[in-house]
Amino acid sequence: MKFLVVMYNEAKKQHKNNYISYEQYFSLLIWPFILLCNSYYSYRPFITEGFMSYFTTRELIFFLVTGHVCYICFWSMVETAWDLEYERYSGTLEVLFLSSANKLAVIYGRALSAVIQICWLYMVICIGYFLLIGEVNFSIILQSLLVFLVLCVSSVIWGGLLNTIFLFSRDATFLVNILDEPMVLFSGVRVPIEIMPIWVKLISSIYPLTHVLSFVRTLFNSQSNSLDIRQLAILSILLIMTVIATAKLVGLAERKNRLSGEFNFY
Amino acid sequence: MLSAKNITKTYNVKNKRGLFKNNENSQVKALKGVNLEVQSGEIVGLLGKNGAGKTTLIKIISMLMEPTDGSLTIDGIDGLRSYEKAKSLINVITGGERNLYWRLNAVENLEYFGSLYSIPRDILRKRIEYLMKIFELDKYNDLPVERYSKGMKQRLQIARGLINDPKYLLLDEPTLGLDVDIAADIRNYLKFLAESEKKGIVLTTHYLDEAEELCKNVSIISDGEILESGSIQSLKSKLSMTPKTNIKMTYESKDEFLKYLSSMNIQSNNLNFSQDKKTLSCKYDTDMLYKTNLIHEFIKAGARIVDIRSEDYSLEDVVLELLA
Repeated sequence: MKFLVVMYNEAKKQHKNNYISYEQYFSLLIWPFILLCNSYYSYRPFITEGFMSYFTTRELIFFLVTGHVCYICFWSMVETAWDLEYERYSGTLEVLFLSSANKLAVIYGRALSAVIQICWLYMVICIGYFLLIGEVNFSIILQSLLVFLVLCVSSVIWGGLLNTIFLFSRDATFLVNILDEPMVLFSGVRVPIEIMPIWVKLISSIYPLTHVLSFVRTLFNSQSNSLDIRQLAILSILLIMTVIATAKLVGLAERKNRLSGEFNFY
Repeated sequence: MLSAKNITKTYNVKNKRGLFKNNENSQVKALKGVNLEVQSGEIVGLLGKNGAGKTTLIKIISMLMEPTDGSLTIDGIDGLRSYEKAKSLINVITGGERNLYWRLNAVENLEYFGSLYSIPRDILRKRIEYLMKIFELDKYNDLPVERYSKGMKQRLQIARGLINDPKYLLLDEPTLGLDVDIAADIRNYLKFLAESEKKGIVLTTHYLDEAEELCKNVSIISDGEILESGSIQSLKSKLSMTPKTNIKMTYESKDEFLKYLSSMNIQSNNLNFSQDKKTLSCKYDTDMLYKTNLIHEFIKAGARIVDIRSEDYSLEDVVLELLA
């Protein structure tokens, strides 16, 4: 119970501290839309000239929309991790470690604060999707809620790992670049993993986003339209392993900082 | 009681030599066997120059940093082994405008920091109400902290440090850069916390007048070692520092005045002459001044005594003497 209270209060504080105007909520929609347009118009010449045999236009749009929406949810977690740098500079990280609060709860609370961004983006996309297909039934709503749940849980657990990396050092940006930027390529956000070489497939299997995307695309695909239990099981195992690794790393980060006293090093 | 015994801290420092060269490793001893004790209701001053080891000691006592050697007990709890348990007994307040969320208001800040200690909701609400009232912040609750004055931010810092109702408070330069009247208010709060709420307080400050006003006992730290500890009076007597007397005189002719002193074998190198106003001032050990009847000799030399003022040694003199 204490764990959940700390997690909730951390998420509440982060949200109040970072979202101070309504304009920010609308800006959250603009950036993903630009990314999506960028990807679509990069592919478009190949579609019209007949070079592309893998996708039809409709399939490509579905592929890119699902890829980008899920990627943005994961990317929003990077922002919460970068924000730890600010906490280090402003001395609030030191105050946090001064307390007896469960640090893992704090880490997940920070990641949870980005869920509001995910909710808003996902809600707008769902409404757009419902309008596009012209019908709303119980099955579609259930599918949307299931995807939302999988997306939130996976991205928060991923966010916990990224936040923990930033506990080690103020100079952790390079680690996030290694873990996060290649996620676009290795998770199949813009290009299907199926057509990638084997070494890319191997790397892609460690990213939770790969499995989330595979699950979502199978569920929403008009041809298959089924629940990919195998993919969900792989994702669950990967997420449990990520939680265990995060818990270990939080302990190591605290130990390292207690030895060096660098909670507010800047 | 808070007791830190034989605290030693050695840092491993990597000296970077270049991208393709091995780093040189060296060790820096920041603290060398430091002892410090604080009782409930007592304010202990920790004084020393920049880099003397004050902040490192504060970090170790607050359990933010692990010492290389030594022991720390807080009301019988081992602060090195059971530090998560001992953390609820302690809090740290620093000077300056850090350690707060500027976009949140005072209550939101206090609610968040209180939640880190898992304080039950109704108790936390009452505590925040009480702190907002005694630190006179209750009128400004609609404002985010970024719109607070420096003094208000410092008051909120102290409220933050008290949110878990700690038995011991560690204050690192709490009045740094504040206006005189605001600093006086903060000192009054600290006296109130020690006297009425029986908090044990460790105070590091560069303002020695502040330490003299607040602290019963002080420890003077230099280069990672405690040079002296005890009450300010005991330090003065230990260093056999005798009171001095300042004398201010007027004179008619400087040459005649000096000639007379010379004839009486009285040294004149500590006399400060002011040419335009024909005044001079000097400082002597009070005992020596009266034993040698020097004032009488000055009058004979043609001086007119304007002011005689005896001066006790300040804490600043004690610190300077020790650090020298």
